[in-house]
Amino acid sequence: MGNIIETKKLCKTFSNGGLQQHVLKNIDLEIYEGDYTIIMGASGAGKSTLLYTLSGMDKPTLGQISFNNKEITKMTIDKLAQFRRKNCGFVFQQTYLIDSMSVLDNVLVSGLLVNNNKKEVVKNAKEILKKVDIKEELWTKFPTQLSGGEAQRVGIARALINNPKLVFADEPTGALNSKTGKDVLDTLTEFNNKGQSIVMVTHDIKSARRGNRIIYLKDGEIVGECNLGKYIPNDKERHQKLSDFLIKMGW
Amino acid sequence: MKSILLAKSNLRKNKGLSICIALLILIGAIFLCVSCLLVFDFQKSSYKEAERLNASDAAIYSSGNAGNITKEYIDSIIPDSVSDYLYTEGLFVQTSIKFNEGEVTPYVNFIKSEALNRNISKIEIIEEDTSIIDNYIYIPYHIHTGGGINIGDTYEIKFPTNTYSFKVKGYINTIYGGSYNMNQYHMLISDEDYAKIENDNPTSKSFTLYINYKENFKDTSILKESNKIVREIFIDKNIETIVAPLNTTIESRTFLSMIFFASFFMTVIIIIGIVMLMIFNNISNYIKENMKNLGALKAMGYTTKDLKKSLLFQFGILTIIGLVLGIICGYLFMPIITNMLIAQSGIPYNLKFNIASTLITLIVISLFVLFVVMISIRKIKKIEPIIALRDGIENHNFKKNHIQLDKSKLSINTSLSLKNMFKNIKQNIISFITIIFLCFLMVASVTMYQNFSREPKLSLLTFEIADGIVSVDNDIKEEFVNDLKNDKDIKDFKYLTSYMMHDKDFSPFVVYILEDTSKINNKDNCYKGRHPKHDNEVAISGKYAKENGYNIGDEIEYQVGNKKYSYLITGFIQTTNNSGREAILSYDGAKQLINIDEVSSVYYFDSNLKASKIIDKYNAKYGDKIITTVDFQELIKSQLSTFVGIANLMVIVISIISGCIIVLVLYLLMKSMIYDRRYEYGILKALGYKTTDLVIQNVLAFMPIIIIATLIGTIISYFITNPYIGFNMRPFGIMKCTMVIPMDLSIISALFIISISVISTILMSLKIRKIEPYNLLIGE
Repeated sequence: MGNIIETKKLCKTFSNGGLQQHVLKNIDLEIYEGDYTIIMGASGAGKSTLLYTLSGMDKPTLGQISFNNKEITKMTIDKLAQFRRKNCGFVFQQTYLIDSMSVLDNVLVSGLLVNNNKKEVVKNAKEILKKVDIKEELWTKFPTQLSGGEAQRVGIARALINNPKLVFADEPTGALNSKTGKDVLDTLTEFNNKGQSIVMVTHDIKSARRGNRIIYLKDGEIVGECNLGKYIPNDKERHQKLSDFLIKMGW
Repeated sequence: MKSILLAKSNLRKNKGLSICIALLILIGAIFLCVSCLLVFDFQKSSYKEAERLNASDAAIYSSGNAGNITKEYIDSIIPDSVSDYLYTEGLFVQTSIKFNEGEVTPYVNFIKSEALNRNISKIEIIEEDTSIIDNYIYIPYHIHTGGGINIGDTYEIKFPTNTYSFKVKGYINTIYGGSYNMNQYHMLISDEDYAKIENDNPTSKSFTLYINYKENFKDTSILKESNKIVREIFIDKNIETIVAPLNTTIESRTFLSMIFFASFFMTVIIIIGIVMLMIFNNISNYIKENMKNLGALKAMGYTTKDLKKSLLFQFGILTIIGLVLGIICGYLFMPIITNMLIAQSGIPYNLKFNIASTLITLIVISLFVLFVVMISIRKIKKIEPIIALRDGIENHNFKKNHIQLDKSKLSINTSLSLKNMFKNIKQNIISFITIIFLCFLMVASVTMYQNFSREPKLSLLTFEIADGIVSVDNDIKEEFVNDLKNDKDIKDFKYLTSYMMHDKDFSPFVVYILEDTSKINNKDNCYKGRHPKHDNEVAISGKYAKENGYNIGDEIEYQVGNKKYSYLITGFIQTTNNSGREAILSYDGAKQLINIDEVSSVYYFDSNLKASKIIDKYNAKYGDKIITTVDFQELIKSQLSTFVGIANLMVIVISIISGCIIVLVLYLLMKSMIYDRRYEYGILKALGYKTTDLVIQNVLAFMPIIIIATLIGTIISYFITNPYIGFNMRPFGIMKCTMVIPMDLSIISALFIISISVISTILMSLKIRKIEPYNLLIGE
């Protein structure tokens, strides 16, 4: 599989009242098509910053990011918005659904941005909602009327409606209980198994187990990488390999 | 102390909002302060001036031919109710005098220098050039302020026998005889000139009585008591006199300021209403936006009382700043208005610090703000620290998913705009109400501009409209009428004269006599019923009818000398002159009381040429047989000059204020809306929406309401402006207002409101640019 994203010497520095904080330091990274890439690390290691920088939501201070061999670092804000709508899907920890819109509208608001064929988008949205196990009677409900797991699955449906090349997930189970968290992870795994590339930030080992490639960040630098191969439920050997890796990383 | 610190920190954090609220309070304070100053200072200053000059309770003026009325005679007829009076002599002439670019035709009364020494109804020199010692004249201050005549100018007064030329030496201040509104100008000349003119014109001798009564009578009683004197003089000496009570004189001189105040007051109410609505909305938003902070403060141990005190302190500071600056601006703005009003009243006015106006402005606005703040901050009590810290207290009460994206046939951006429109219902209602009221203010101000400045609506201010008026000696009446009939330059003409009759109380009544009422140009004149057709019919002024309980179908008695006749009231006319004591009789109707051949023959004409050319033509032909001529358009132009200034000022002020209010209101609404929806914008940006998409959505979300409100506001204003202005002008005798509502200017006003709103919405929506999805999503 070829790479979707490639970064060269990626740096991100935040300035706060003259105080400079180097959050990402010379990151060279490739994200491959079809992979379920997990970014792990302690709090403040730069995981979320790396995720949002890779997705074009935030601009790096230095370095280069190429998406499908096209550099995105020099794109204007509007070009980046257009880039994101076509290529990226986002699943956030807090779901960030729009409270004033129904479940179906939350998915369509993303779909109709890319595809003008309303009939087709509506059909796709309904199909994808069914796929993420959101029952039809919930489609007209508002996000505040859903459970945390349901809301997150709607978030996944919204992320996937435009068939993005890459889904970025930032702690998607962070605000969920273990049962609903598992359902969400199952949904993401199912899509990955069908070929959807995913990059997920987590510090939850259960979530990390779903990935085939683990990248470990420490103080803004990639300090380790582990290839687990495709996720197989209840694969103890795979679980052990991940545990060993994380212990080695000092997790 | 902790509340003060909190308030200070809030003010620092919400600079834009604080400035806006202070500005809105400032605008409200300016308008309220100016209104109060007009009522409590300007209006009262006229009465104070009257008191200072020891103006009598009433004045009785005679016209010419009064040489046989002596002080001794007046002593013999003066009633017991009079405490003291002053008899003064004068030289009377009704003549056209220069006023602005044109001429007016008042009664001019020359008085001698001894008038400066009198103690009742004093005359005071306001300004003079002592270097002018010969052939001088002191003119009333009004001829300077309203008529534009200055010291050093040459001023001509035409008597039937001669035209006398003077040099203006100074201006005099006098309550009676100082304004065209009372139709009396007293002019002071040297004793030598006085003697010469008296000698040249023996029939011009007149007198004026300044009378004080023992009791503190009201105007109606003053009129009644004074009429006893008028009746005696008429019966004994056959001389007509006019009574002018003090209050009526001052009211007629400050008539314009009252109209201005009436228009201004509605503006003040609307602006204060909008200001209070915005303060209420902003405090609510402030509490909503700062829910977490307020929750945190409560968690730290701050009580509801502490938080309420801090908000009261915060809005108190803004109110004080807005009020102080507003009152200062009000005082600075006041001379612009009063200079125009003095031009009409001719009563000198010096703006001084007025405690009542200042206190009323301070107290009214402070109480309003306090009331609104107290209502708004009630919500603080409900804040539970834990709930507020977790999510803030938000009520998700989406009853309906407006514009479902799967069913909408519109583009995604338009659909989202409409969704936002329904979501911003609170902001939209506020914008809707604000714009409706601003439309009304704009239409009302352009209507005033149209009818007083652009194309003066003369029918509101005068009994009849024509191009010119010629009064001829009765000897040449028939020949003159024949000439008018055969003159190709005359479009139409009518006989229309006036005669002083008396009502049953012997109060004077100006009665217009018309040969053919169907020829009247002023179709607004008779607003109810019809003009008199038969010899037993009369149309009286609606103001007089209302004040004295007359209805159409009732009978009213008039008398001339000992002759009396009861006429049937057929209609009501509107008039702003003579305190409404005016009526219309047909030619035959007038014959019931007077010998019409003894009344001067006055003809109103409409011509194809300029009126002055027609007047010149007949002056050349008939010479001395022409008694008076009036170039009507010039006369009206002169009289309207002060109204024009006021109307123009109104349009400018209302446009600027409306523009400022729209900008401030939209700024506050958009700011809170963008803050409210910052996460939504962040999410949409993360999903790939461009800033331009979101700005367009925002603008489109506000536009329908702004356009609908402007449309509805302009249409409603079109229908209610006349009743509203009419209601305000009722006390001045205009019972039915038929002002032309200028369609073009109303459309321009509507477009102005829409343009300002669109530009403001776009500029303020650009704040969305600053929202970065990343910062919001990571919780910054």
